[in-house]
Amino acid sequence: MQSDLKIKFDNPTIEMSSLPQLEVANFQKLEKDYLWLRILFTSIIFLIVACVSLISGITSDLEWWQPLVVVSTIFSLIYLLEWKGFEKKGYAIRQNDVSFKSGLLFFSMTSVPFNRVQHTEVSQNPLARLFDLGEVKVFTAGGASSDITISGLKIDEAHRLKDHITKLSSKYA
Amino acid sequence: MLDLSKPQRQSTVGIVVLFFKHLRKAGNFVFYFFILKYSTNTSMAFLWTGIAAIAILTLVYSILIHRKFLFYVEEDQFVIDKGLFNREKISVPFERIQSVHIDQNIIQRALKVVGLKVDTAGSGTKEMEIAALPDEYARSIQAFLIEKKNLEVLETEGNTVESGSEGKPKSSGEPLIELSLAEVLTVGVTENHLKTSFALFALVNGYFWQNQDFFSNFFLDYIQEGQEIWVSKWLLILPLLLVALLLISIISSVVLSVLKYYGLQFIVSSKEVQKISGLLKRTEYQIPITKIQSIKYSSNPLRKLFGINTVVIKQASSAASSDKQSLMIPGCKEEQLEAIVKEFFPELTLSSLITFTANPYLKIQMALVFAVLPSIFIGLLGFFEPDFFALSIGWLLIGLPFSIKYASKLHLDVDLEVMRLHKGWLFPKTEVVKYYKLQSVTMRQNVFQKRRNVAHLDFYTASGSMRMSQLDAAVAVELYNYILYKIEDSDESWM
Repeated sequence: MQSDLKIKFDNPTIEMSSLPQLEVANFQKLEKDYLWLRILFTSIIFLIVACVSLISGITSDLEWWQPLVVVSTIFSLIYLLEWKGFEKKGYAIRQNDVSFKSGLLFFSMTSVPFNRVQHTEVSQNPLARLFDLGEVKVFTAGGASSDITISGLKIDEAHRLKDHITKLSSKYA
Repeated sequence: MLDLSKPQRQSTVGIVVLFFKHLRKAGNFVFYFFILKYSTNTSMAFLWTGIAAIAILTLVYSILIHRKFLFYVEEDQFVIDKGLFNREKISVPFERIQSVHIDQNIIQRALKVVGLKVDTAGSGTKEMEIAALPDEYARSIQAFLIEKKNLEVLETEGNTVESGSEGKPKSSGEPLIELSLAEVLTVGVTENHLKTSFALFALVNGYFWQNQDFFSNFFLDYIQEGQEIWVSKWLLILPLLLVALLLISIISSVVLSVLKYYGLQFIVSSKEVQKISGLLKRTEYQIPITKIQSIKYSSNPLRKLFGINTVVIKQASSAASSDKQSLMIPGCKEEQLEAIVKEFFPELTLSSLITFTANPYLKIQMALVFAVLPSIFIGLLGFFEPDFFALSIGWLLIGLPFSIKYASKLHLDVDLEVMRLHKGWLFPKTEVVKYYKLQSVTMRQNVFQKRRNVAHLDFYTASGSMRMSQLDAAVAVELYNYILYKIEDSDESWM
């Protein structure tokens, strides 16, 4: 309770404009390879769904190509969203917090202060290994939706980032 | 002196406590004997034999469970060893103990023993409950565990705990809030009865369908006879049924609230808050001050008439089921509510609050989602059944002012240390939280919001999240930066 008062004394009124601003320019883009990884992943799904739709097209009363056309239209939209959405993804490391943003149709940006990080984790799935990519997960005590996952990093970079965040957050533990 | 190094057994009368606890579960079988009795032509003796058999089996089971139940301390862990068919050894390190509760139901009271419950921090919590201990013994275990836990925590966290546990000196024992019987009754009477009757209806309905064969045999004659009356007089019977349902729900709410909240005391000391309540089962529940994350209070139209609120003190919890971890005080008068808020948020001064309201777009959105679209949908049904046209217009006329009023009530008050989110019109809800209790902040904006230049802000604490909807984008960015700065600037520990 006492330190509350102290803060109040140290911080009289705060000018909004003098606060550190999290601007778009602070954000780092993800590795371009990550886009190719996403596209490869989507393509694998596409291939499977296309096969199924082709079989169902041949066996049903429809023309053989009709389901395939529907599926292809949907997937071309997904490709477009992946392509455009990649530009929106990015992360920012500042002195006191780490942030991640993403989403073309549903944009969201989350910041986790280092003094609230519970633990961090590097993970890499088999597909990402092909591209030498990995992701850093930052966990807080606020539940799954308040955690952030920084994907699309080179695996060495991911480890470096994890160490960096761990080092900065351990000051507060 | 307390010696827990050797396995201990609970009081022998624990058998009785366990017996009644198990009997409640066994009671379901008794019901099926009744069904058997009345649906087939068996004798009365059959029914009694069945009930006796269940009682004896339950007693034997309880004795065995009691024999196999041991608790002790092993190194720095509290251990419970239990189970007849499934042997279970639950152990919890002292530092992971969240709190230790003592409660007493009517049977325990008659036998002059209490139950002890150990809450742990962490997901996948196992139940650690001792059914029957002498009061004094239970309290010495409680004190022992809490002391051990505090020692552990101090060792691992060093000096950081001190600032939190010191706090201000305050005489403990003097309750901040006490509910009289009249106040407890008011709480019961002003319950949201629409909700209760609905739940009641669903429950009875479910029970009915589950045992449909039995009931239809039993009541077949009445049903057939009733059908004719029902068809001719439904205009009279239906309102009567509704009134009956409402009455039952009011009575059950009153009874439940007396059982749960009788003699409720809310006590604030320098280290923890404590709630003691209950008529047949006295429960004591406490939350350490440092674990409190936010305070939420709500009301409803009836309760507004009486000027009472329900206050919920939310505690940090790792599991998603945060409701069980929080402490609820119903029936707080305005001045009592103010006292609680002042107790926990002395920094909150009304003069320095800056208020942010939602963009008018929220009104349009709410009106569309809750009034216009449903009314169009109902209107479409009107092409099949003309009655729906009237319903559609009715919905629109009622829904429109409601949704617009709801939207206009949403606002976020921001102070130097505290923020307060207010939601709702007929059922107002307000949540107050200190910035340093926040874990992270998210800004969300979908394509429609981007066109309107508005955004949502989500604030996450260790006891749940809060959302301020449809802020002007520029304001949202400013608040996002300000609140992040406040979290980072604070050196207070969030728990």
